[in-house]
Amino acid sequence: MTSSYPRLRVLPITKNDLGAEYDLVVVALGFECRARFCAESLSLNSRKRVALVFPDRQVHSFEENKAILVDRGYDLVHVEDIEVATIVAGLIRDIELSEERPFRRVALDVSSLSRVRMAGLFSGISSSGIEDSVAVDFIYAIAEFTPPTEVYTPNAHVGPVSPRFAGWSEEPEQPPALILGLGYEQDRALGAVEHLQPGSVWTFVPTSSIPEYSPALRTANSILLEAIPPNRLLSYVVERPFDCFVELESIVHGILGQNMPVLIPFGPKIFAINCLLVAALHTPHVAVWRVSPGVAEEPVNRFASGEISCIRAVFTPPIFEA
Amino acid sequence: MSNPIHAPSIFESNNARTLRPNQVARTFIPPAKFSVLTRRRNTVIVGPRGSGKTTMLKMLQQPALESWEHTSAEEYRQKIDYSTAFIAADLSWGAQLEALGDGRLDADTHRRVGSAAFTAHVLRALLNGMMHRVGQSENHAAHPIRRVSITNDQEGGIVRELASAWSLKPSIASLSALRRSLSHRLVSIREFASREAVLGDSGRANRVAAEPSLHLHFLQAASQGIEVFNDAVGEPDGKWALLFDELEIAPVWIREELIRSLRGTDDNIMLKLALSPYSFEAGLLESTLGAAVGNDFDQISLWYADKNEGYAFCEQLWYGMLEERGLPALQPKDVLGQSYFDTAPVEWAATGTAYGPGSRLGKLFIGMAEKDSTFHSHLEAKGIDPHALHLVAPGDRAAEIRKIAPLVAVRDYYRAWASESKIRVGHKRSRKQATLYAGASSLFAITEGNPRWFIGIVDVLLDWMGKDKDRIPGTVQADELVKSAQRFSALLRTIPLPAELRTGKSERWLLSILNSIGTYFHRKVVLDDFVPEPPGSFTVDANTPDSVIQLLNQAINSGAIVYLPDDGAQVLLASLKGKTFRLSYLLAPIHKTPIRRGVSVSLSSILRNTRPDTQHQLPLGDD
Repeated sequence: MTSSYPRLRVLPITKNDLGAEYDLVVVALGFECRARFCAESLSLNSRKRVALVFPDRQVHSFEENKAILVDRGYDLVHVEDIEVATIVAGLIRDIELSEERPFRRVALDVSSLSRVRMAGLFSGISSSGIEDSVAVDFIYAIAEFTPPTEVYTPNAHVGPVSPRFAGWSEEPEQPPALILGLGYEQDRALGAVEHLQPGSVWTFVPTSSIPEYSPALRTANSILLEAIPPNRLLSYVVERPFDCFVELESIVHGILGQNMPVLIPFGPKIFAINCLLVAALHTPHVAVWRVSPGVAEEPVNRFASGEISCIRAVFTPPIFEA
Repeated sequence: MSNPIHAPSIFESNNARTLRPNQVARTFIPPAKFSVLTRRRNTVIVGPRGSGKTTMLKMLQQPALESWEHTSAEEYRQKIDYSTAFIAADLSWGAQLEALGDGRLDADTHRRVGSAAFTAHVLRALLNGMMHRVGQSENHAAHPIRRVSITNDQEGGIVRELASAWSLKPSIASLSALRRSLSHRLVSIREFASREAVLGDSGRANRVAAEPSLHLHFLQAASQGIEVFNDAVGEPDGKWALLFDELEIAPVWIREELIRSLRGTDDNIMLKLALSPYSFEAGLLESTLGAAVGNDFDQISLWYADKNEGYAFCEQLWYGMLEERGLPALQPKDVLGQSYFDTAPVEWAATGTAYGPGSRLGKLFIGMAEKDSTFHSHLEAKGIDPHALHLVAPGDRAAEIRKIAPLVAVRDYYRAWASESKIRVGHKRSRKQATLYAGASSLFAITEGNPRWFIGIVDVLLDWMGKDKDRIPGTVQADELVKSAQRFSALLRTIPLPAELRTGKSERWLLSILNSIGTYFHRKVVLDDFVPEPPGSFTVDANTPDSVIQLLNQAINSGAIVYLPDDGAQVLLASLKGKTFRLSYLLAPIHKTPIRRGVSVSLSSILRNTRPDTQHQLPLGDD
């Protein structure tokens, strides 16, 4: 079963569908231990392997990750957030030019990627100038439960994850419709609702094979969950992102024309990928926002649980409207 | 209330921005200042979030006035003899304007495309107003006003003239098609910006010059439109009010333009601008080149420095909400109970005084004098015997007793609480503590006359009450007060740091500053030696760090602190320095402070005398 659109097709895949010959594999090199999990445990064969290095908070598992990724043939690319799109587009073009075989397949390990960098990767793929379709496998290593941090860091950014995902409304008098993916940071989603003052609110509540997350999430969002009507409380299984994508896209499709959808993906990053996919599908009418302290946020080491979540998207240029 | 299957969340139902004008009108209670807003003058309406700015502006719209059933509705329908166009704004729209060109345009081009988009938005709003006038937007109006009839030919004439003036090409000569063409323009503007981001600087000047939509000025274009419409309907002197909501979200150059325009615009145009209390552009109003309050524009503040000022409005909202639910018009005190800080008539009934030795207040004073030597000393110095309060003659001493009674209540309550050995867990403790603030007058004061806060809290309380109860227990009220504070805390934690503070390290962020102030006031009232006039407000003195002031700018606009103007005429602030504020009473149950203003102390002294708070959230749990 697929969801089709002239420029973007999203397909369900499993872990068994990963590992075929890729043209490019991109992972993040940061402080989380799970940043190396996919590189270590999955057979991601590729002509080019790249680790996008975070310039900040090179602590916890950073050095260990670095050694392992280098050992496994990853090129370390030191890049600021704002450069990700350009770097990735350049990588794709270089690979396309260097080989006889057309550029076709990418694997992106988003486990330790920031939402900004995810958006940058989307932009990089779309601006690469590749004329044919590119299949992108998004891979997410679900983390073992780590209690939510009690250290508060003020937000540095509350707004579109990138200018490309700010959305655009032809009827600005319509208030936004907010679709939230919940996480377990105390009242983070509630604050976003209070701040944005949307015309309607929908919430996606994650469940997964890691049972500790659910009670922590309910506690952290108790006031919000109490206030949301039952028909707007939706749940999704982290290990089944395609089902989530279908439901999310359906909700957004229903909202379009009446309100401007604004998606804020707290919680598992695979939901953030789904948000970006839906926004790309309906560009420019859907916005994706992030609420983040940025580099000031306390680094919390997260360890892979062993469970993988993945989804495939086939991009056919031009992905974004001119 | 609403259909439970499709019931909106509290976030949606309490937000005027999400409601159509006729929906706003269904429950609108006009505050006293609404009459000022309706005058045929430029107006600046100032207030923090939720204070009712959007609601009041929306009520000036024709559909709202036509469906309004309030007792004073007809009076206002007669009085408001001008047309209106409501220009909405929200954070999402502001972010879209900011993102035009993907961040890759030069400043001038970015400004041009942003202004062009804003102009299209304004002209769409104007067309909406025109369509209301000619009866094209609503099927039924209970009390139609200012309707005009135009023939198809007249409509076609209007459309052709406006299309020419605004460089539009509607598919047919109708107002709705013209409005659609403005939507298409918004699409074109974004596409233009996106292309420019890719094409770069080379040749850009020519491309920009060749794009007519980038050279329309929103006020001039609106003025043209108004003139064409007025001529067509035979109202050459017809007045229009452009209602600009949430201007703090609009690009700075638009805010500046509008504020400058208060000094003088087209004779047919009035400006009604909604702003938050702190606005950098307020300096424009203060400068000698700016507009003058009273001469060029009226100024309305939508907050109450004194808690008693907002009570009457809260009472009206209360009765309005009861009526909306089909509940009997029960008095607030009958449902919410007497506030702990008030004296109930029953306390006077038997003896003619509420201060007898056996009375609640009498026992309070006696008990406090026995436990607290500093309080005892104060009474002694004033010649007041706690066992004989009821015998104190009217005059200064009686006034002294009435003045300090609420302080004694808070002091006693929290000193008793602190001495208890029972262990309370998490929020249950805060909710139990907050019962001190239950009761009609306290609850009303805590909402600050802020309609969103009031409706948000009372809505839930009335849900609890339903139709089979006529009294809401203090514990239920306290529960909702704590939740409201928690929602407010979540909002304050979400507001992003000002750009200038993002790279530095600081121990004090917005909530920690508020907590420090609240903790200081609590200590002065409850823990330190008794004083009859403890501090309860603060002045932003010259020694206050700039980083703190920047955070307080956010606090005032969100309603976390309330400006106490010395000069009643000044409500817009370009700077907080030298100004006096108090914490919002919404935070009183959390910081355990009295609901009163208190004398002012310098903010820098408060911060010197309190440790930076590491929790960065309101103290909703255990102490």
